[in-house]
Amino acid sequence: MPETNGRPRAGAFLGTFAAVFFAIAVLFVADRALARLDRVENQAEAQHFYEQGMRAERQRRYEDAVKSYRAALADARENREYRLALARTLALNGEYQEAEQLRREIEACGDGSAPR
Amino acid sequence: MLDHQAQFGWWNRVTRRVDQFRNSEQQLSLLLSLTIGAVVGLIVVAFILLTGRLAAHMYPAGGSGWRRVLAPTLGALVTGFLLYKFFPEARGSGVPQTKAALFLRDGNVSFVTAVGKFICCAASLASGISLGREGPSVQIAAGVSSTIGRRLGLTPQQMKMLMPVASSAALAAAFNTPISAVLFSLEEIMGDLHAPVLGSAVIASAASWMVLHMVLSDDPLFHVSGYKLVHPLEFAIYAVLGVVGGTVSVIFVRFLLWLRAQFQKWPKQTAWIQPAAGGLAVGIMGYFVPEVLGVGYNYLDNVLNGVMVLKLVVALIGLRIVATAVCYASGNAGGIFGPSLFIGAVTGAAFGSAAHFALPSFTAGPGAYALVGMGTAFAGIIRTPLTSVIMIFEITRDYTIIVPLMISNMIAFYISKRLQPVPIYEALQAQDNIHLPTRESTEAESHLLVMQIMQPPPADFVVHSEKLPHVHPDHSLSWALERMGENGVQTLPVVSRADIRDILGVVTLDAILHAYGVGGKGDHAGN
Repeated sequence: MPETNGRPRAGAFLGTFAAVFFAIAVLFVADRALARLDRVENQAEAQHFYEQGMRAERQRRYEDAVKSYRAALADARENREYRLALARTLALNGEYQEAEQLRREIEACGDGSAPR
Repeated sequence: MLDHQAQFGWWNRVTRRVDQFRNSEQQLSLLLSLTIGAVVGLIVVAFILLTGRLAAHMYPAGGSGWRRVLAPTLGALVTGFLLYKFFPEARGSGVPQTKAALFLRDGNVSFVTAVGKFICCAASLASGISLGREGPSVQIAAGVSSTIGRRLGLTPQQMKMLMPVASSAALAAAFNTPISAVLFSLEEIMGDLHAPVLGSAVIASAASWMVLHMVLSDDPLFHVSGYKLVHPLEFAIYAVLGVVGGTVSVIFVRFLLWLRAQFQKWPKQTAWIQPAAGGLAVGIMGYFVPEVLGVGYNYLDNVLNGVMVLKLVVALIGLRIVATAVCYASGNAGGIFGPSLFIGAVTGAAFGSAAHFALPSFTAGPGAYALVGMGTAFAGIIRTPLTSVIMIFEITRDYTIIVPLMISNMIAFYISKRLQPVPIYEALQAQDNIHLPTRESTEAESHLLVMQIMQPPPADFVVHSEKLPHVHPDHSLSWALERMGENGVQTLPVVSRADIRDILGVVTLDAILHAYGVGGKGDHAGN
């Protein structure tokens, strides 16, 4: 690196910042792409668990259905459909307290988003 | 000639402006803080996303049990070789290494170490090694910012200031808690809550947090129900949780240190294969209990919402302690920040279940205790009580939990301090023969005042002007030491604040060194 009195010259100084800003731009694009890929995979996995839960619920295996719906919600926390399915199955499984709490949470955010 | 001047005139102006900018400490510090915050935030987000994606492929949920044994064993074998052969500085957590860089190497961390830490930690955490990602994020951030600082030709003092700035940015992104990230950097990395780098650390933390939210949106790390104090009696129960959490913290710290000492007795040539022993141990545990693998944050939601089965919660206390201790002690790359929270959460949940069973109408559910337990173990293991309180507050965004949290955290902190005098990061460094200042020792030293060691002035000692170097009796010894260094003297007059011509005594370099316990001839300390 070209230096003057132990310090890099102005060009090298500016070049370092330019390189860092370029790295920020590249990383931002890469991170966004990774995050999008993650979301798509999570949604697919959540749908898979939801369908598994539906099958278990139809066969009246409520404990298995609760597990599957919980797994679906772990991937898609804000999905109203999954939350309603979990509340319903919890009630069918005799877990009334949690079912009631979940129902209240769903009602509290009528737009379908999870409470913060 | 004129053409030449016109041609390069604009460049000369640019050069002048750049030099002016470089000489302005505040402007440079602002730009550096923002830049480091953004770049570190993006690197840490990439680290989190890559680790998560790799983990999902290496030991998928519902996958075969043998995969859970093989993944951590092979992962630790490969990363163990890489650490031994190419990146020896990337072993372990990253927090003590960053502190060592700050205090021993003027804030210099090599870029190779940052790259090695990224690769080895991503691989080992994704393979199921039971360690955390926050400590490694701190070291990666320190390496990146140190490289930028070197390229910019910063002074050693400016390089040192980059360490807390980078670690604030790293923790803000890794844990989604920007305020406690700043506190942790000051409390643990700098060992001084009043460090002058506060402003830069805040800017870097905010920039990093903004980047995190631009990429991953405003999704809290844990989703926790709003907990309330059910009855005033609960304060006493939370105090007991503090005792339990503090005790568990000490057990974990002592076990880890003991185990690490055992691994250090193995021949040096086996260092590359030692991590595999940790990988195999955690793999065997993971065969039976998958929740023991990896960082474990995806299971923490269940613990914090009180929906994890009690038997599993109790089993996880012991299993996590052993898994984390053996993974760390055997030399894998990864931190203890995250596992501390996990251990605290399961301890709190188990304690809360018992309390709720015994006193159902006076206590909240186990989830509330899991939440407070997280902070308790963090205060007991990492020994940063203020960070632990603010961090849990930031995670839950719920004010009602803060008083019980403060009570149990402080109790855990004091129990830990009493039973394990040396904090974990310093104890780990001491095992490697490195002795760094602790926050507690820094605080103790800052309490040493000039009045405690000053001697009577010689008869002919006179101060004619306030411009002459002097100190007051209530100044700290470090202040007096700095004044001696600035003025190139070994003795300073101690003068009254009411009238600087009133000489109360003198303070000598020998007396200060003796008070710090690093030599000197006199016998003045504590007088």
